Amino acid sequence: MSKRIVIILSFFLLLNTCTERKNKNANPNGNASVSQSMLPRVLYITTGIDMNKTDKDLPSGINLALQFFNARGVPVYLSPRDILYDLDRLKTFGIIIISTGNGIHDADRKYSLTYMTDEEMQNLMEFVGSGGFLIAGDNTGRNTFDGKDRILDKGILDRTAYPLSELFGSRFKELNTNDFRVKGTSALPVSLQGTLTDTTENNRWMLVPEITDTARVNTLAYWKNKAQSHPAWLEARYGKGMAWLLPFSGWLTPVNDGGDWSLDRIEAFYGLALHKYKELHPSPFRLGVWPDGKKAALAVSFNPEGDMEQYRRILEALREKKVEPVFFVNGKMPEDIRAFLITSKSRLSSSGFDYIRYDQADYAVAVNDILRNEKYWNYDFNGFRFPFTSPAFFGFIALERHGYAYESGISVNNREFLHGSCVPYNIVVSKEGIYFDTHIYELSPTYHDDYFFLKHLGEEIYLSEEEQTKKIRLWNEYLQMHWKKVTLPYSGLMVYLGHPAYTGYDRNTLQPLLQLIDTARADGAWITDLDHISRYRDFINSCIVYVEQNGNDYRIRLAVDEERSVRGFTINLPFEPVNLSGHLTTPRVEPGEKGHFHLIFDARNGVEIKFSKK
Amino acid sequence: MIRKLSVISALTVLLVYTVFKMIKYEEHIRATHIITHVVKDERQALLPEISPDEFDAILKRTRTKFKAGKDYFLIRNENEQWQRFPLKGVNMGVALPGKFPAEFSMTYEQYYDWIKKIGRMHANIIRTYTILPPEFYNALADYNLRHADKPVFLLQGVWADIPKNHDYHDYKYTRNFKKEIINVIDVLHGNAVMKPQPGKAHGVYVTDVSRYVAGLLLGREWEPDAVYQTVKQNSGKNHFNGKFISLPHGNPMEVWLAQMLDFAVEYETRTYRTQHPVSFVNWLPLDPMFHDTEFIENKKVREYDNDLVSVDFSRFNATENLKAGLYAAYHVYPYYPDFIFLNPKYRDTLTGRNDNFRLYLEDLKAHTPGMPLVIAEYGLPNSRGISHFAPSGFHQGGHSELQQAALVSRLTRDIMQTGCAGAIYFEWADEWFKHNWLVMDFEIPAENRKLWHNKENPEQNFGILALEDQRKQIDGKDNDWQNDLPVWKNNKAEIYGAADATYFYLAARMPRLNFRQHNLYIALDTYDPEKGDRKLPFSDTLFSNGFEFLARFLSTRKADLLVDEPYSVFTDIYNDHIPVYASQPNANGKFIPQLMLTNRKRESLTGTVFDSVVINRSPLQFGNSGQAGFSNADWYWKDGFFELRLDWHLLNVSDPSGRKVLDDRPGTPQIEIAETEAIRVYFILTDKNNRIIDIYPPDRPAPVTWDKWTQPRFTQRLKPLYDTLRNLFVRWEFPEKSTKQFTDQEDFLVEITPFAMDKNAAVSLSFEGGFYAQYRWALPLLEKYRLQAGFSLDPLHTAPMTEVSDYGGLFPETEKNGWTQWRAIARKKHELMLIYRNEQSINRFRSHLQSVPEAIHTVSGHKPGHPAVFQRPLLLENKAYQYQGISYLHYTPTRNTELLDRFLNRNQGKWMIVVYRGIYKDSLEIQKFSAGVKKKFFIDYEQFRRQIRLIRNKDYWVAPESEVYAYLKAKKSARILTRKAGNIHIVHLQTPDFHSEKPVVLTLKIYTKARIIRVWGSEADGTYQNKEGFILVPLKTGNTMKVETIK
Repeated sequence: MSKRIVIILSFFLLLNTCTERKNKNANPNGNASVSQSMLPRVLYITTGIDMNKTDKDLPSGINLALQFFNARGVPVYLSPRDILYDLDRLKTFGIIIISTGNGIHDADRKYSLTYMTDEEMQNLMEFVGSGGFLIAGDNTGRNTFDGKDRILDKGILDRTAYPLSELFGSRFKELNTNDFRVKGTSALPVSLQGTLTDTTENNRWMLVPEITDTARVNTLAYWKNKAQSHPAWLEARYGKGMAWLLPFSGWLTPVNDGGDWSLDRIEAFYGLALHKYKELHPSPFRLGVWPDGKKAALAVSFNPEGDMEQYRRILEALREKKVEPVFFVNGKMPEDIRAFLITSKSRLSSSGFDYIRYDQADYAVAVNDILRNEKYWNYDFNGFRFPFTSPAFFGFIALERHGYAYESGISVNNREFLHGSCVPYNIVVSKEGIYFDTHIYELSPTYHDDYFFLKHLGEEIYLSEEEQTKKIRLWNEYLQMHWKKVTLPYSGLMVYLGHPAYTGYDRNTLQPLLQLIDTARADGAWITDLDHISRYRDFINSCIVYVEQNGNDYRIRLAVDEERSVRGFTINLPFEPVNLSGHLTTPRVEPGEKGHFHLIFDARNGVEIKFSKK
Repeated sequence: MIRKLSVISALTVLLVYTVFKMIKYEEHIRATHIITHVVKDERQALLPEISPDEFDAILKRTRTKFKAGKDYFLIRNENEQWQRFPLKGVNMGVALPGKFPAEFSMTYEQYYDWIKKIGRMHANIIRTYTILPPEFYNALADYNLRHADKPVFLLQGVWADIPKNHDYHDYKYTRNFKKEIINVIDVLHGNAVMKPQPGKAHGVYVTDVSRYVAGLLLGREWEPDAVYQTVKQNSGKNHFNGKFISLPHGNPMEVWLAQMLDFAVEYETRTYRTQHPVSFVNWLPLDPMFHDTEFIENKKVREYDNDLVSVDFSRFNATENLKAGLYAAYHVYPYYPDFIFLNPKYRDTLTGRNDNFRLYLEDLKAHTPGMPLVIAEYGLPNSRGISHFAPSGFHQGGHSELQQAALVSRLTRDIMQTGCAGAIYFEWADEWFKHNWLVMDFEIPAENRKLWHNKENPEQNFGILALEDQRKQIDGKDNDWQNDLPVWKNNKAEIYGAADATYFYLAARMPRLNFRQHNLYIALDTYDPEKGDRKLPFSDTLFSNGFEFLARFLSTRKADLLVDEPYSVFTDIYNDHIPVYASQPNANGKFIPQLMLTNRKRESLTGTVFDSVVINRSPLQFGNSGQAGFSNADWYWKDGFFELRLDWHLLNVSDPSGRKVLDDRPGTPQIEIAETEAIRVYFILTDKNNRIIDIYPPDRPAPVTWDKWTQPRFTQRLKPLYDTLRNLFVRWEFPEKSTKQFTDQEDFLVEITPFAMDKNAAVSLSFEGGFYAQYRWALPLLEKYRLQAGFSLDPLHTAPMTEVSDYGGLFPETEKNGWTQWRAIARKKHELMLIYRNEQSINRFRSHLQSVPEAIHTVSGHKPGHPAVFQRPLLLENKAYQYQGISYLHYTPTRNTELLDRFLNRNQGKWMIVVYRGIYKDSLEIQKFSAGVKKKFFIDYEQFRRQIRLIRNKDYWVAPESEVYAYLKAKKSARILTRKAGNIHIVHLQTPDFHSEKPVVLTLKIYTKARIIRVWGSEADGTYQNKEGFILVPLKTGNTMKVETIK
């Protein structure tokens, strides 16, 4: 499938180029007011979730990038390093982040981004040269792919041994940084000034640049001790683009996860990066994260546990609220409930047949369990939730091969600590030397479920009415807090994780969910099911949005795989458009916040919108 | 009719049946929806018993991020290693101006903003006194998630009210306090729903901040009186052996605290598998040291006895189950109680550093071995007013913001350099609701105190963050007066007036004003034109208005605000002069300085007199209030523009928000107030000889009024102290040697200490002569200080008497005890003694002596010949004696307490018998005796009570003679036999004649390298933390104890 995307994207790039030529032909004098840009997309190169670990969590550094960019309408795509050989695909992104730290699962040395061929580096340089923005971690490409340290021959890394030397306009030598600190310059935002890193034993010998092309290279931070000062964080203009070289990849990983910086500082860093990108590609528009200008998304899901009355109670209450929950089902459920779910045309997703631990299953067992459940329910499941919250490598392979679109088991808690992501992301997995990206989106449920707060209902623990009310209030508050503090600020997704046995125990236990729906609706959320969400996110992540400006006239074009289409695609405009017209779609405008407007249309490949600013 | 009745009956039965079924159905429905409602028995244990196996299993899974080390807190880093973690932070009150703390009016954003500022200050601790609203914990969690590189941790307090009957052991009180502990712990773990209750935060607490909690801190500054009452009412409670806390011997208050700490740890361990270091609040009045300068000599002094009773951390031990450990927390201010600067120990005469705070901390640290000592409150206010004067300069108030920063810097360094484990500044933000003893009576109505900012009240000005309403800067510039209209003007002058929640402002544009040629006076009529002085000191003119205040400006160095004499609030507590705080109509032109008594006169136990301190608040400081060094400046003048600000209290305004001024009426218990319409002012320009040049306005004074308010305006501003602390907190200065290390002892060595509990000396208080005055005056004092003494029975007078009798026949001071008194003495467990002059006297009183054993039996229940009745000859000379090989010093004190002090200090390491005979209160009666007799046999009560306290203060072993004698005798002959079985040492204390002798409790000093030791079979069983390389355990001769080395 990915090959098809590449072909189509390439086609559109070609089309784009032709259009540009056409425009130029139409303006033989070279009308300087015509500008073209692409709404930014971020490529984060990572080996993804390390399935060798017990905690199948997304590296928190990536989580932060997802959160930051998502909140600003910039999709982030995760990919292993294979993509470095695919220049055309690289060019479909605006920003590429190459982090070489272990905190983002840089994996073993063989697959590390400190190992690069000259071709890979050339592709990166071309990406930058054509207008891209590269953020590279320390030692990026320092070793040849066979493991040789490029610096060993001459004791210095220059363009003869290291192509990126040209990109960064510098040559590199090693420095014992034992008593050095990295200090940000006054050119940086306040939160990035001052000491950025205290050296430790682990980062004693570091590659330190000597700038050779001072005309296009700035130093944003220096290695400093009492006597010396060396450049540390470089900003190099190259062709139409720009590249940053960092002294530490650890900067991008929060200190909660073994990195160097606080969340505030990392966000300031990404804020600066986005600012720089916008300097290169000025565009006043921003992608809407959710359809119809919605600010965040809410979906309701249930794991199997409960009796008929409880299932019915839930379904009735939610349908009254016009919400379709997704029931994760397995082969252990009673026949009457199975019949009820089928006859009530409930939305179903799979939780496997036998309620097994996938992290202990090989591929054969995993695929058997997945397919058997499909057969048992006679249902074409689109989503999956690993039992026991145990996402597993072979499980993902099996799901990918059988066309599943999402998984919903890696929970999110970004209030008390960093765990999971409220932003859906395409799963990249690694295990024992195998790394690959899937088309499965992780739609993370809340960290705590109804069982956590209401478990006494199933354990015959007798509580007073007051204590029971207290538990329900806690659950309610938890949900509200999750929505307000974890989901809304990042325009994220909240997946309610419940069980009919607890949520549907009685009318009181249903209230937290119903209140959550009311709150989310009042906050302008998209309340839908997990299928729709995965489809929309897939579209957003695959779609390239071109913006062409000619004076006060704008043209927006979409390039995406032919198979994909969504309703309510949204672009945020800082002004009210006039003379609105669309090709292959009928756009409409709705007022947004702070004087902005939402340009909303049904989107698919080739759609074009034209409008003007008053 | 019958049919009708039958039908009605049938219908009624049917109706009843239907209702019954409906009720049943309702119950059924409820039963399926609501879980059985169990009404909890209020006497049911808050933590049910669990089996030892369950307990062990829980303990194994219990985690802790922080633990109290030997000197510092330790934090577990990412590599699972323990690192030193000095606590650097602030106490956070949450009362914004216009609000009481219990209103909890702050929003999430405000909490977040404060935490952010605190984090930027390089502080790592916020201490809270009680449960705050959920918004605080949400903000803390959010901030720390975003700043995990430098999180701000929490030292969470558990608030304790004062028990109604001053008994902390009261069942209901204790149970409620335990519930509060449960609430706090549930809140920290994000598992609490607090219902609205007056004075308490409420809401749903779902954010788990337990990972950001450095420790729990129980209670408050326990009132010495309440502690004393608790000790008195629970005398039998002197040890506690909990699962986590052990107190082998302590006082009843310490026992209660140990129980509460133990409960807190057990609840958190069992409920959340988590432990945090625990402690309780302590402060100087309860410190373990005694201070000879502290003595309440006058009942009129409204102050605690700040040296009456101790709560001593060194007696508390963490058992092996308390992984997180115990720490000590003290509130220490350099100006209160007075002993912190009066006690000679804290006056550094050698180096001249004049830093009493540091010397006190060194002393405190030495008395708190083996656990981190956190200074949980310290600080200095930047108020204009001073409420306590300290010779070291660390006054309570009277500092500019710059001085505050400099002095607090010194205090903070002292804390670091004395090896303390933490410096938690009091307090983060100014709180306007706070009262201070010196001015509280004049802030009326008291509930409006929160509406205005009293710069004469130091308590309101401790903050690092100024919460203030200061709309005008006193800088000689008129830019902040641009929008004000003059209250009066002509071609020579313009007068302006304004007011805010802090100050009354006046400004004047007077181009002619020049202090080389002129003096400026401002006469202020604050209320009621009929009241006040109609005459000014430099003029014979009788004005139409009476003035309450006169501000005079003679030069930039000499200016003050005088008050009309009757309106002065100076109160002389010693002479019972409590004035009527109201302006009186007069015309004498007498305006006087505004004085305040800040420090009361004191006399130390040994007779050193410390004079009272009276502060003159009248001088007005010239300066630019925008400069930190002049933050309390009162006035400025530049280029013909004059500005003055007077804080409200200086004008006897009791509540500016309601325009209320003091207007007391005689004969009522409370102080009355009146409302004023405006403050009316004259500006009077004179020459240097005070001849009037001009009066503005010339005819009638210009009124300056202001609008009342119900909610004050305020702004936030960081004082210079913020940057000072930021620079200090960035790197903690660890002293080179924090505390003494354990000496290299053998693994297990036991010895008998020279005196019980290893005290430096022994003192026996002996009361001879059987005087009734001893019963009347000495007995209560001994009880107060928990001292045991010996009282000698007089064989001549005791036997036949049942009531007090005056055998001397002279006057009350020679009355003798009757049986009622002896019985009371014996009941208090004092020793009864027989003192005989010589063998002849024994013969002479033989008949009486024969009856004495029977008398003793009657009054004390002791059998005749019981060793509790100690016999020795009468001694009259002050010198050394020996009795059966045991040496002792005999001393009869005179009224010169200093001599007694010298005697006690000189004879450390010895046994001293201090003998008292007659005690008198009436000095006239006693004059009948000759000087020699008086000196030898009588002491006046005033000195006697000082001497008893002095003896208590020496912290020697104070015990009756037989007890000390038995100890010293047994120590000579006792042998310690030890053997080892695994990690258990069996210690047997043997004396040659233990079969015939009454067993004696000896103190064993056990040297060991083990950190935790459990003892049983002794007189103080329990778990001991080895804090200094040894532990002290009392053991009876002939007994065997087991000593298990655990860790």
